[in-house]
Amino acid sequence: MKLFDQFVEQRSRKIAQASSRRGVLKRLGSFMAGAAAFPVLPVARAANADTTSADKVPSESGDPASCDYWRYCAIDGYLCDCCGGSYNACPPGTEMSPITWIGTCLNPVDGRSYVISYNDCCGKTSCGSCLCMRDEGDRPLYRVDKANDLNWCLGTESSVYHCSTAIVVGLAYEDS
Amino acid sequence: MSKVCIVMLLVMSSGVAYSQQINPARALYNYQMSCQGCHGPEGQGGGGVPRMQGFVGLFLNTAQGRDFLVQVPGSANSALGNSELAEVLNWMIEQFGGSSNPPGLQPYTAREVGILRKSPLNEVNAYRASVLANITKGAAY
Amino acid sequence: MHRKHHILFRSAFASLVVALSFSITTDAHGSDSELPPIPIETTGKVKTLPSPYPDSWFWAFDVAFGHMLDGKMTLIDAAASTTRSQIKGMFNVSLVGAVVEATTRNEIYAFETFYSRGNRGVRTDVVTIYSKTTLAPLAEIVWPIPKRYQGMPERYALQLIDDEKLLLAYNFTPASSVTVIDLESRKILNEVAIPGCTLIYPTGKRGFSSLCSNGGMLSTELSPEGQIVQQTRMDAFFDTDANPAFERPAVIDGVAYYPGFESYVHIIDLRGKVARYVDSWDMLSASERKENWRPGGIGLIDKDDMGRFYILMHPDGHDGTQNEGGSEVWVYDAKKQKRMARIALRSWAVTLGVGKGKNPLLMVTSGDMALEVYDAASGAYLRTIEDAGQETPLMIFGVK
Ligand code: HEC
Repeated sequence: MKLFDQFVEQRSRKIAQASSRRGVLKRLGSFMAGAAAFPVLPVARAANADTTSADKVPSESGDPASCDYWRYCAIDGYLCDCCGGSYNACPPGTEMSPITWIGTCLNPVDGRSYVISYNDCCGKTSCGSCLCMRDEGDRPLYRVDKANDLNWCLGTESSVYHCSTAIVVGLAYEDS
Repeated sequence: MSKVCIVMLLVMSSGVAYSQQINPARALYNYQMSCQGCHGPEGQGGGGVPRMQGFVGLFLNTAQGRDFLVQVPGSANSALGNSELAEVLNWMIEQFGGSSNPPGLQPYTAREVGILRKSPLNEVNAYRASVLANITKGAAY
Repeated sequence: MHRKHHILFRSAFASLVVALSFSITTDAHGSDSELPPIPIETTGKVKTLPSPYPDSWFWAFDVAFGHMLDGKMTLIDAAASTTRSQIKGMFNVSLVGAVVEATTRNEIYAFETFYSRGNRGVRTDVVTIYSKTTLAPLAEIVWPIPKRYQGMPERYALQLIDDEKLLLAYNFTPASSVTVIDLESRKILNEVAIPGCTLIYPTGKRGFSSLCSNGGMLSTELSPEGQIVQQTRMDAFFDTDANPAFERPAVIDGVAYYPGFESYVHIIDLRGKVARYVDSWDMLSASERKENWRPGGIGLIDKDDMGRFYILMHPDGHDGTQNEGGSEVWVYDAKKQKRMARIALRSWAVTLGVGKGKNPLLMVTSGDMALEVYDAASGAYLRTIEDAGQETPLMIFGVK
């Protein structure tokens, strides 16, 4: 209950003052994506010249136990990262749902959009920690492939919902 | 009946090699975004979703079965455009069909898909069973 | 404990002294032993409820988001000012269920799921029929194969049609279907597939429509025996990617008003056998559009008996704020397509419900999960109900 309060309060505050923060991230991201798509830009070329891609490691930043974490852009539920699991693994003794919903989130570190699979972990009652509801790209039930308002503990032994993961399953395809 | 003929014509006229018509990165992305949530990364299904792995190719043995893969609600009502849907279906068959695929695969075309998805199935289960029954009876293509 | 005894003892002692000194019938607390004793009470009494419920009563549906096996519906008199007169009773709804109340039957239906070992074991999906006057279960209709839709509460996941003779329940596995129940025999008549479509919007005399993934609808007409007479698809009336509509309409006299994420209302006529798209209209003025007011919330819309709908709105909306709720309730005359009022709420709200009758109350679930009550006509704030035992009352229904 407290968490729920906090969550709603957080969100209302967010809307009240700064619906901009995520917007800024988005704009920043699309600028970066744009830069990647047009390597003629001097900045991008300089970066390419300096470092070979082999030197670079894929990277993401932020706290996976925080609702702000980039992968959670369309999540709706308790973060498994706070429940004994992680952002891509279920807590002990739960079962990961094979059926789920899938969206894309922008990684601000590399400016790429990734395909994220939000598999739920099932079989124990609500984890209760780190409630997080962000609905970018979420659609109502008629677009089941994009709907996070329903219990995705489908095809599991028990349909009792515990927490949600955010697994990178691919890179978003962009027409160039 | 005439629909089947149109479909056959469309199929015949697309003489390009099967895989050449597929952009694998785009097909994978569209599959992931529109289909994978229910069908799984390997087309394995689960819950009320049938397994496509090593099975989906079976439907290509009859015209009815070929149409079915487009008319099934997940395909027909998806948010994908006709050419994207055709590509995803072709990719899916290639990825998941395995030994169930009959020889001489003919790719779906955007036009074919566009026509078929205008008549999506309202009832799937019984119809699917009859499609499969016709296939096992050996109905000719 | 010790201290308390001490105080008790002291006061008893004081009373005794006072009683002794002033003698006779009145002690220091003014008690009067001349009064006749309280009549002896019988045990085993259980209260019942009036029929019909008064206009000021509401159901708060608490899905118990933090422990979903324990959801409940609480019956509340929103016009009352003390907790003891506000709370009228409650019943349980297990695992994010769906509920619908009958008007002509003394029944309320809960579509729920149980596991034989609480959170695990053998699953049973069931419609439990509760009596509106006793809130006790009257009967159960058990699903042969469990497949009920579980998710955030939806008004249109469980619906009555055909003058409340048939009950329709939405299943999702993720294949979509609707189970048809005959309420006279309390038996399942049929399961109708609604591939690629979702939810149950009563249509015509004996039918329903469902919203589909392409932004169109599928209308299903049923026979009295629950068999399909016909299924008809209606073309898309919105773009599910670019400009989605909420699946939560206000339905007024058989006409559904579906709000869109971007504050357009789509009118769908559900009075015939087949859903028919009528028109769409803009909810906003130019300046409001600049401020990007959008609908948002869970139970974000409801209607009154005078043809008005009430919708939660927030400024600075964008993709991602659609479930967040709103700071205001906007009231529209659905037929005139005209806004009648803007009600500024005391707190941010996520859900609303409107009562019945000529002078309805408006109840909202605020961000901190309190229930706030307003006069729907004037928008005047009346009271906050904080102690109804609620945790997450994410859906509110005016009683029928
Ligand atoms: C909401 C879940 C869901 C999504 C998303 C979905 N499907 Fe399906 N699909 C199903 C179900 C369930 C079935 C079984 C038939 C039925 O009841 O609709 C099915 C059946 C199929 C079949 C027939 C397989 C067989 O053996 O009968 C094909 C082909 C198919 N889907 C293709 C697709 C494609 C292509 C997409 C993406 C564009 C897609 N589906 C998206 C749930 C889904």
